[in-house]
Amino acid sequence: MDGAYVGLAPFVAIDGLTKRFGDHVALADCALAIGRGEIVTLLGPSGCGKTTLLRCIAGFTEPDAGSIAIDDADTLALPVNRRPVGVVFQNYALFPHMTVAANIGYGLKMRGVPKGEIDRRVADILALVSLSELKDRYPIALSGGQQQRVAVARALVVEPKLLLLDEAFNALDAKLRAGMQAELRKLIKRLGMTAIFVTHDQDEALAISDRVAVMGSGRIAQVANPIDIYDRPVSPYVAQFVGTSNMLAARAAGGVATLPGGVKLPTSYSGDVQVLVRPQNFEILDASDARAGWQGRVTFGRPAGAIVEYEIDAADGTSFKIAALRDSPAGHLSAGTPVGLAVRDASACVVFEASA
Amino acid sequence: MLDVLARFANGRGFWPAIPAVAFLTVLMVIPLVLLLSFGFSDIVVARGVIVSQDFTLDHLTKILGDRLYLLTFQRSINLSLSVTALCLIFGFPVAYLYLRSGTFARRAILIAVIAPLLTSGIVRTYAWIVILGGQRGIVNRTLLDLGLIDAPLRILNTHWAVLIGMTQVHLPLMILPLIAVMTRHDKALDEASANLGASRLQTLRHVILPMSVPGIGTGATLVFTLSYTTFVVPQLLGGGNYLNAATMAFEQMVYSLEWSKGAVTSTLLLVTCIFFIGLFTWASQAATRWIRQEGVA
Repeated sequence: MDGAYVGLAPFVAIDGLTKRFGDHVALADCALAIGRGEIVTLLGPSGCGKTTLLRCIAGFTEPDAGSIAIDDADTLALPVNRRPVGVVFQNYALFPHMTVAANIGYGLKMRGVPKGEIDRRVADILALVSLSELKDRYPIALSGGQQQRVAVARALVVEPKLLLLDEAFNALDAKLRAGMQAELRKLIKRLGMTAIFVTHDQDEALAISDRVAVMGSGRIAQVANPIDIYDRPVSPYVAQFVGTSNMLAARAAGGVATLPGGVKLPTSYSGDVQVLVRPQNFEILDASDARAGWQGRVTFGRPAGAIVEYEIDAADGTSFKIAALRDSPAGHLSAGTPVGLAVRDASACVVFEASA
Repeated sequence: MLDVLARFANGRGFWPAIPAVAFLTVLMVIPLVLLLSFGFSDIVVARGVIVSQDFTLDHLTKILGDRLYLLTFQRSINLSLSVTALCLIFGFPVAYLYLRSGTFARRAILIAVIAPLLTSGIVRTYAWIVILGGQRGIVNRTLLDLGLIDAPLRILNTHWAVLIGMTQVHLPLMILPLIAVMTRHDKALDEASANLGASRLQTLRHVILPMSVPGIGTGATLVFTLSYTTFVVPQLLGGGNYLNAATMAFEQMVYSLEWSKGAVTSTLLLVTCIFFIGLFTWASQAATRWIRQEGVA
């Protein structure tokens, strides 16, 4: 569960970043290190500070304290239009009065690049994002996916050191989204670009990033690769924000927390603890099965592709969210069916202090 | 056309518009047609009643052949285009300031722009007489007291007084459409522009200005039309000897009672005015193709 950046000096180094808006603390002492060519996602609910962090890097918002360095250069000292950062905006912010080619060439024009070279570089990047035949259209005549590719091309053509993407897939419909995520990740990796995504969508974060930084209340709660974020969350907040979770109350003594059904979990805490069990880590048994730690009834089942998501209420009132493969024996339970529940794999459970 | 008339006669779909159409027909269309017909006929009046009206092009050819009339129209067009340009030059920064201001400052700007409209244009024009007039006008006294000039400047009763007065009187009509456009401006575009390396001035030049064209078009049309057709400001600030086309039409109609000449002048005024409105509309549309392009280019 190594969330820290490992390697030489980080390419992007954010330290002690703090920002207040009146009484509201948007960023509280945020630190984040990103390696060259890495894709990191800032994940969190709205108001968690992720957008403020992005805006501080881009220069749209001035932090109260802290430092940001990109490639060993102090970025906060640079004015907004001199930062080596390309931004893909939420809703793209394409210039409506400029054609696709003019939108993409804008950054080069502002840098005083000669016209011939602008045309050549715009043509190259248009080919890269497969938009060459649309170069003379205005944004109003583009689909959402095409607009997104123009926005990405516009940010990339000026060869920034760091690419920032603010809710880049929000405006796309769900079907298009997954395809664009994979395509964009491939493109960024091919160019060796370092990128920070901001999103509130955990699926997007897990799909696109090398590492995910989960944020809450202006702080970075955990930074880790997507698998560790899901399997080894450091706090109940992270556990509940990423994926579906069951938080079960238990007691720990002598370095062992015990769940009903005799499941023993090693822990350094003692007294009341909370145990995270993911939905697929439950086995659904017959109500009479001796291995069952809990007895309950199916409240409802929701088929979701290859799996079924059940809500099962135990006799003591605890509600469980449980996933079962649809082609397994437990894949066709109707509401009201009495069942027994057992934890499959104790090592996949995570123990937290109860007060946390 | 017949189809439209038939539907109009049936009253289907049109009936809510009938009172307004009747009002405009009686009070605007009929007098306008009558007025225009005066320009193309010889009117014989006996005891205050028109007794004969024979069609003729004499008045039109006479006026078109007279250099004085053509110069007057030229002066009118120059004046109105100058006023339009000045209103744009003074108005755009105000609208830009509005865009960059917070809620409170925005309200203050809006009040400052609208307040003059609550005063009649005639009153505001008289105010300019006080400001610009003679040795005791505010401008001359200030400049004399500061020792910047030795003798009072002659501004009132000149072309400059008309230009200054008209620009001030019509300025809000340029600012308000511009503010309407600025209110819809998306701040993310400014951030995108800055992110792509543009300075604030470059963003103004390449993003905000071209996106304000619809407002500029509306403002220019309003300011030009009113400047081109007003005779109050030129009469009061021009001192009675400043002649523009509108003043000429007024004098022909009211003072020298040359109705046919006045009607021709009015007709030319109307036609040229519509031509300029068309020109502004065409220019504005040409510069805003991005609003309308849909589907495949």
